[in-house]
Amino acid sequence: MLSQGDKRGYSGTVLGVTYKNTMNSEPTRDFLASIDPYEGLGMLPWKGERCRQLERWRFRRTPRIVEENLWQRHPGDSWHALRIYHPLSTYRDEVYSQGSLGLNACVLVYEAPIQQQDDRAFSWQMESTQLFLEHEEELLRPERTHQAYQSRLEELRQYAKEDDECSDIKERSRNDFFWFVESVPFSKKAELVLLENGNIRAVWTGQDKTHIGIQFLGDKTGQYVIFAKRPEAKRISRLAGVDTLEGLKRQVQAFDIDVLGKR
Amino acid sequence: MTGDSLPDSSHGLRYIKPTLIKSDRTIDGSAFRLRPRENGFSVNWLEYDQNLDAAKRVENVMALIASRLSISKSGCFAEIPVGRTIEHLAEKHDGVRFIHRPLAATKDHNADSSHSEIEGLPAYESDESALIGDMIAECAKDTHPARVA
Repeated sequence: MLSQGDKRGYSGTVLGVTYKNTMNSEPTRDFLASIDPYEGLGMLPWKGERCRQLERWRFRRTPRIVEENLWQRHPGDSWHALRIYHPLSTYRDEVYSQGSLGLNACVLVYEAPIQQQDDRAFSWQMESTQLFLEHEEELLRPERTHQAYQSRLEELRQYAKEDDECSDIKERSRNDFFWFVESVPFSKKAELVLLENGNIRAVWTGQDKTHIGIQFLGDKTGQYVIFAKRPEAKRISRLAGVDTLEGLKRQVQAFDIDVLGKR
Repeated sequence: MTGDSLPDSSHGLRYIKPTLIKSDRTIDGSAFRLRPRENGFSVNWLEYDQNLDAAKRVENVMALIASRLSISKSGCFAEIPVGRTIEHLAEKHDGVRFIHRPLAATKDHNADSSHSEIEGLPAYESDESALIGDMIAECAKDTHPARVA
């Protein structure tokens, strides 16, 4: 197992990084556990370039390891997903930092066996790098979606200014919206509207009239509307209610709706 | 006539503000929910004047709505088909009706003979209101861009 100060462990390829840009919003344990190192698609690259910087860095300035999960796809292999904390000074010009004190990142590292450099360990390193390069476009999509959301919210804010009956975007709704979409980074891009009460509503539309609408209420809760059709069913299931945002994700998964992306 | 149900073949027209229109120009279901202290959801009967052709009807009713509301050039008007909407909602919510409720002239506004209301909708901010709003949005596919004088 890797541990702080254990430099021998940091010999592998960084496949990707997920991040939260404030100390108070950290990747959940479930999200960390959901990262599949072999596919390499469970990771949100911070930016392709910076991801490679991390790769070159190789943790020589050993970060504080907050959490660690270990996978073994094959006997003797060792993939580690680390939740680590970086001081802000390391990434001073990071656009998402917004003045927060540090960066929590999930980093996937393959640990080559230290007793020997065998061929399989080397091939795993090559394969993981290749996977990243092949899927770079896909891995960068969440970042572009995030930027699109920012633009859309600014547009809605301008509309609200022109409307006496519409409140400005509520900060707690906005925070919860970004928390939610960052926790499902490979979700389809949602349509956003602004309700008169200042809450953001996001709507995802899938195939077969599948539909998820979430009004972000604050306190990590949402009012939801789900329209879903199972392949074997003739009718669409329609339900609405209020749930925690984590509970909502589980509900969506229970319906096999893929608009929120892979776990 | 006042208090009569609109024919199933007719349409209600409703102004939709830009904050409730998605980027792909479809209408979000939240545009079709009751607001605080409302019992009926205002729409305008598109075919109230049978002497007008289809294009003129839309123009005429849009003008009637614009005479009473503040219209944004980024907004639009949505057509809600009466019969199809009632039938679609019946799967989840019975008792929805489109009722003719013309408005009399006031010192600030002319009379509006096209005004109607959708009655029997779920209460403001209820979960059912959100669900029914989204179902109405599934029916209200035809829209017209707002024109500001």
